[in-house]
Amino acid sequence: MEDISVKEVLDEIEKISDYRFFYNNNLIDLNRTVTVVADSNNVHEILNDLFANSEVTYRTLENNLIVITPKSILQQKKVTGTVTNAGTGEPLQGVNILVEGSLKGVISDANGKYSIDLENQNAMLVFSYVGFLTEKVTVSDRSIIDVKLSEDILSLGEVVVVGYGTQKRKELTSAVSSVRKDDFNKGPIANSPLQLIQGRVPGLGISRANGGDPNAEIQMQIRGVSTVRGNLSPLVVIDGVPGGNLNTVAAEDIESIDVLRDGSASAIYGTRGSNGVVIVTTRRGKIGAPAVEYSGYLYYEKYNNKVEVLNAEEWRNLKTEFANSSNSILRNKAESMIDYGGNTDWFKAISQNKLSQVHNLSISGANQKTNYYAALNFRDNKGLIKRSFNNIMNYRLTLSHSILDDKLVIDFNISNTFRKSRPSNYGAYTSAMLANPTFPIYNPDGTFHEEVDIGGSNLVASIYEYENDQQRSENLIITKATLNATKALKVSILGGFQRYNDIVGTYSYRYTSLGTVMPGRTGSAGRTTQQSIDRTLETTITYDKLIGDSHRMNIVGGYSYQDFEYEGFGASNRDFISDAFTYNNLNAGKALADGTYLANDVWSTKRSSKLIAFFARAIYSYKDKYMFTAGLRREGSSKFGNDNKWGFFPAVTGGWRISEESFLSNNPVISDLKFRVGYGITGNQGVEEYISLERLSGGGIMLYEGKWIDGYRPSSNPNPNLRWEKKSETNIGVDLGMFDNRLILNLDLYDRRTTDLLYQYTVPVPPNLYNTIWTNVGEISNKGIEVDIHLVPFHKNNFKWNSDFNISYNRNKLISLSNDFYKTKFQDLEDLGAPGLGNVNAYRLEEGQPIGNMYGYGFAGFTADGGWLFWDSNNENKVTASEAQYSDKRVIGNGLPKYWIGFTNNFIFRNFDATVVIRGAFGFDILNVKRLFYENRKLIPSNILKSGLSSPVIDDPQFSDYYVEKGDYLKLDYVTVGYTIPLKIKYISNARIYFATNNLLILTGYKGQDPELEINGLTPGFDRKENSGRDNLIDYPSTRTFSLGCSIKF
Amino acid sequence: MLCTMNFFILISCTNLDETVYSEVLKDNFYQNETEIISALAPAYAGLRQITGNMWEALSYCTDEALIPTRGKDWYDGGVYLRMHEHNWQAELGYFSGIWGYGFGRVNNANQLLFQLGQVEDKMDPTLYSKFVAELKIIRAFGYYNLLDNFGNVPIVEKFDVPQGFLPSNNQDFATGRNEVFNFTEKDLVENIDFLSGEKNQSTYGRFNKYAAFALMAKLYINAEEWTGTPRWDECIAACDSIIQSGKYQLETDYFANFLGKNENSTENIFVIPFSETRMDWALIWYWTSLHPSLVKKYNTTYGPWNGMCALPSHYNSFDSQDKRRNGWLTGLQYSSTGEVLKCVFESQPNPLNLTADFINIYNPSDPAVYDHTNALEYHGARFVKYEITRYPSWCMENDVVIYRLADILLLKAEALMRKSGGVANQEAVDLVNQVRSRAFDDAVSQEYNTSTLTLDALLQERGWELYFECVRRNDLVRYGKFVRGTWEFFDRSSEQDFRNVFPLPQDQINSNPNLVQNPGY
Repeated sequence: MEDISVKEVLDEIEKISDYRFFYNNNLIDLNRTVTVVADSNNVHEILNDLFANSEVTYRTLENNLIVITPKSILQQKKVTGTVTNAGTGEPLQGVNILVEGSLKGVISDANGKYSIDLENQNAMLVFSYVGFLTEKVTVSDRSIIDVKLSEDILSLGEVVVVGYGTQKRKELTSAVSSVRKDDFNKGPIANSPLQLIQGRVPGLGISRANGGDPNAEIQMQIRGVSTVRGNLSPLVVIDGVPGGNLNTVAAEDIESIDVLRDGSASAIYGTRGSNGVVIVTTRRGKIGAPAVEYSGYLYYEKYNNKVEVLNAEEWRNLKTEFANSSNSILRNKAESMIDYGGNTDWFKAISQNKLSQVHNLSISGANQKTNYYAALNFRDNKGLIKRSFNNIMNYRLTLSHSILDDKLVIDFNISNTFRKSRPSNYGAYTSAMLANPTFPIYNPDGTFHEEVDIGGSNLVASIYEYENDQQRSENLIITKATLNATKALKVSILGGFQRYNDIVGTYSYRYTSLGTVMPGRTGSAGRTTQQSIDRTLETTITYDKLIGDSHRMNIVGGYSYQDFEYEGFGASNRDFISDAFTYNNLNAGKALADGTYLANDVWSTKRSSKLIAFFARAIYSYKDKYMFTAGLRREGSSKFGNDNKWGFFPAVTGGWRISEESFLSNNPVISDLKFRVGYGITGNQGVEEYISLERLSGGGIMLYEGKWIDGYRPSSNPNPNLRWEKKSETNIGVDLGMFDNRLILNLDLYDRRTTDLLYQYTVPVPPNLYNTIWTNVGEISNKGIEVDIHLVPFHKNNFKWNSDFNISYNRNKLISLSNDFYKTKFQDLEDLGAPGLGNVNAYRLEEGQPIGNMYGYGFAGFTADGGWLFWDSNNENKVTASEAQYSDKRVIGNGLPKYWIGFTNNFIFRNFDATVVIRGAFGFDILNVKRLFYENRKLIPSNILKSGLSSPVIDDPQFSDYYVEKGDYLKLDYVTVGYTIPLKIKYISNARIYFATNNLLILTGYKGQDPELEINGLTPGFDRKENSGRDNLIDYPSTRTFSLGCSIKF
Repeated sequence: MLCTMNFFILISCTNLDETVYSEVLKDNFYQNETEIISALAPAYAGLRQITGNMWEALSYCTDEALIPTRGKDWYDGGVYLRMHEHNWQAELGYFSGIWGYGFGRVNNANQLLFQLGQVEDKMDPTLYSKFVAELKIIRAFGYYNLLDNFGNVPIVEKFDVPQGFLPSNNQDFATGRNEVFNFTEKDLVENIDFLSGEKNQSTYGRFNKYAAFALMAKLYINAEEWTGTPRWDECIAACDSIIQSGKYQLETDYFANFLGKNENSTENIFVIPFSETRMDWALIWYWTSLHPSLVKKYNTTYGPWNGMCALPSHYNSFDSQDKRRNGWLTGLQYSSTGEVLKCVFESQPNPLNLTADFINIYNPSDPAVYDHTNALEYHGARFVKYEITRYPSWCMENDVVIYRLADILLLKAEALMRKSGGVANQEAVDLVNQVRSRAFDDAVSQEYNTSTLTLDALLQERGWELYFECVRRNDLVRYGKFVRGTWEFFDRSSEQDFRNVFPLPQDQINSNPNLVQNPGY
């Protein structure tokens, strides 16, 4: 059609199609003549041509109505469309559609449809969906925008949380690992949210040393032991608050956990970055309709490997065998083995088999102005030892609101945890090993059986005759205001308030099985209460700008203030007339009134410290090809000497994305290749307060003029020169993506060196008043390699398989413990204690050696009559225990794992999904303390390990490499199978059920129960969980759990 | 802008001063006499540690007591066996304990002398000079013990030394020991006159003149052994200062000196006070020695651990009529309500019958050898010389006797004898008989005369009178009977003389390169 008027064109369209037009004749130049080449049936194309250079435009409404208006009038514009999976064509529900540069956004519905009102047709829509590549679409004239999102198999566009900001993974220049909610380990999370990433992060060792005890902490370690006495755990940052307490966060409420592994990344956290930084981000609402989610699981825990001791029958057989022996010592033993006629499995007697449960309910949502997330979490964890439990109720509210045209955003983040618990009676577990299996638990009349004459106390009774009620409440309150001054400049201020307080009550009954034997005591009660408050204030200015197309600048500067306050109070009393009060009426005890109180019966204490820092960091990147970061933090801690309070923590990194270079940009195999290098200095201030000051404290009473007066004496050798422990670290890394990033390999090499080690050194007396002083002397080196491989072996519509494999190697060396003033060549640690090995140390911390060396005799055999033989220092002669000299001792093992591996596989087949986590540690030794003490018939009439029956040892226990075993293990852990129920119910958008197990299988040559042991501290690989003094071997069984859970989204 | 924001929130944003709550900063202390007296207390409180490592090490290496390995217990890496067999090495923790005890007293005193010097103007001058004198005597007490056990140790008399200062001992053992002797003697001689001459509540548990004279007597009696130069007359003079003061008399009942409430003993010259209600883990001989079933005999709160006992030869050497032997518990044991107590370890459920000898009384045909490496739970006489009271805590109530008149009388007798080549005169005989006679109902038949009182007899008498009072090693060394000692259970005949002193502790050698180890070690 040539030279016809616009009106005529419109009329023609109305004739041949269902479209109808509305327009105002006065406003539109309908008489303009145009030439239309109608080679298309698409009305929109014709109209686009028609109005291309005019002042008017059009908008398509329902029922094919098209409104034609001047462009100036069309301010409000509605855009609709459908979002589908580019690979499968299926609609995608829950896609976030945001107007770039604003908070305005919607979410796609179950059919992938969305609808959004725009104020500006120049707007750009951002389509983002977890696991998919984000698409940006310019709206311009269009009112229907259908978008196909491609799956981002292993996301490079993923945003990673780094200190005081975020960075895209492809821009990262240091070693940072990030695990998101969907990838967390499933299964019961009884101890700590960090179990969510156990085995997932290279270089991060996480150990549940106390099995499944719900009241025990877990241990974590990044890149080996880099300090000897400073704080050993990584810094935890929760929603921007450094030093956060993980107990305030329910595992279900966590969105992501990011781990800053190397010094260049963590230097921005200065004094506390030496052991790495773990950043926890909690969940927030998503734009769209409110979402309500329930998730919960039940779990059941059982012994994994029980300690095998003699049962009643074996005990009786042994007694008979001994009685008939020609050896008089054994015949005497037989006499001392009293058969009480019972048949008791003490482990069973002290254990409970109870279901534990966890429930989490959350609501969340967001619109253009407001974002909210609220959740209630309830955990009822039962321990394996009778009466032990841990009840946790946590609630969380996150609220964010923007005002002043989105210029100011206010955030509230409040969480409260109430915990009620009764700790496991560890002593009972140890005693169960040693108790006579023929001793009955109950008398025929139902009372506890006791043999008062010979001190036969009853284990089960000891659990019921002691109360230990602990209550704790923990809060974290974060308030944050962010001012978006300009598009590039942002100023924010964050206030954090973290608190815990607890109250504990203990009571030993008047006639406990212990009390019956020891008549002096009639009831003993105690109460303690503690409170700890941390306050944080952080202000930051961020400037983020893309200059031209290629220069990106991100500059952040800030100030940080934190103070920490702890106070506590406790009182106890004894000699009660009745058990009725337990610990609720201390005044009713007689001991305090009688004056037979002890020094510690009433106490109170308080301490505080402060950290203040100024920091700045600049990130520059050129076309995502060359990246450069420089940062520094100047931080001061009140704990150090007056002239040494402030430390300086710089970091520099550089990165080169070679894959952006022209010669690699179209490579069919390599999709991404980045080389990065970084250097940073971090600190450690994890020592007690006041060490630098000359203080006096109460101690040492004296009889003065016939009355006892309290003495005051110097609290310690003061060290006014106490300063930071400093760690410098070089990190070199390569990130390689291949085959469209279906294979990603991250490789990191590090060399970290800690100097000015904080340590309690042994100093000569005189001139020192006491024989130890806290000071900075030695040096430790840790070198290692970390490899992280992400692989997608299969990625088809109904079968997907993702695989993550990581391995890390660490070599540790204590370079020195001396300087001009302080000389320590070595120090012996870990007194093995009673029975029989008091004053015998099992470990040696020695210059030039790695941390964790076990130090003792080399086993050389047995004498003809079963005595010990050891090698002398030349390894030439065999000597008996009494001939052996200190110089015959040598390094007989090392308890620090050299290799850690983690191997995670995720499978999705139609509606089924499965996850298997395999993890392990290699290259270390374990001192099997149970064998050392209990695999020895000399211990009889205490019970012994079953393996003791065949052991040649009937002698005083001797510490040698006879009891040092290889600790290498591989665990099949966190095995989960889930099924998403294909519901077509209006009110339920998603429902999934799953079955999970923990600690399912342990492959190890270790003869003990579980080779997963303490990793922190100076005596790793010591298979006794806690050494609480000479007569107490404290221990907890290794456990396995089975859980059944579901999650429902409404 | 940052600063503006901070300004509203924080007055001072870089102040890192520490606030101390539960302790006192040094600069805020020593403000008045009460505080100064409180500061003096640790110097005396520290003396209590003598009953720990010091006392154990010095007793278990002698002919009076030991801790044998009993079943699975008390092997403890062989420390007790090594002490008994004289097979110790510098690494043994006991030596750090003895060193720490001696130098702890020296350091406490030096620190307080320094501190007092700074607040002299705030104090009454008499009190000041008395405190200074007492502190110097406490320092001398520390050096006496170092001299006895190690010999050649560094002399340190200042607290405010430059950082990195490391004291040294003499390169030559004999010269060094002489120097330490002279320093100790000087402190004693120069300060004794400033001490109180009172014997009453105000000096109880503290160094008055007579306690210092006792220390002096101890120093001089050992002068020949330690320095090569005998000082018998000075020893006699020091003893006489005490005896002739008339302030101390022998108790008629030997055990009156060791009661739970032994404050009224007329015989004790210097004691270290303990309190069962004010202390924990301070004095634990009851727990170290007694059998756990005896908790029902004495009705204490916590049951004992069945370790230390008398050597059989020591127990058997007593005359059966000697009442002092009752400080060692033997025989069948009963509860406070009269029931027979039972064995609870390897000999359960036999009755608890404590035997001085290490024999299997329940199976006389038992061919097993019982000795320090292998003892049954009822073997060995147990230590009950100090009265056992109720003990609600982990501390005994009895005040521990360091010096008492009986020791001084025996020392004077010894000095008199040694002066005349080991021959006793009547004065010496009278002094010894005075002590011995109260131990017997039929005293006359037990008395010595100038021909029966030999040095060997005197050494034995000291053993019966002063057993487990931490003097035995010192006595044996002085009598030349410590090395190559002939008591059971071990053949020490090839032992060398260097073991008359202990090695300097290895941890001190490691941390101070200026220290020279004792010869032989």
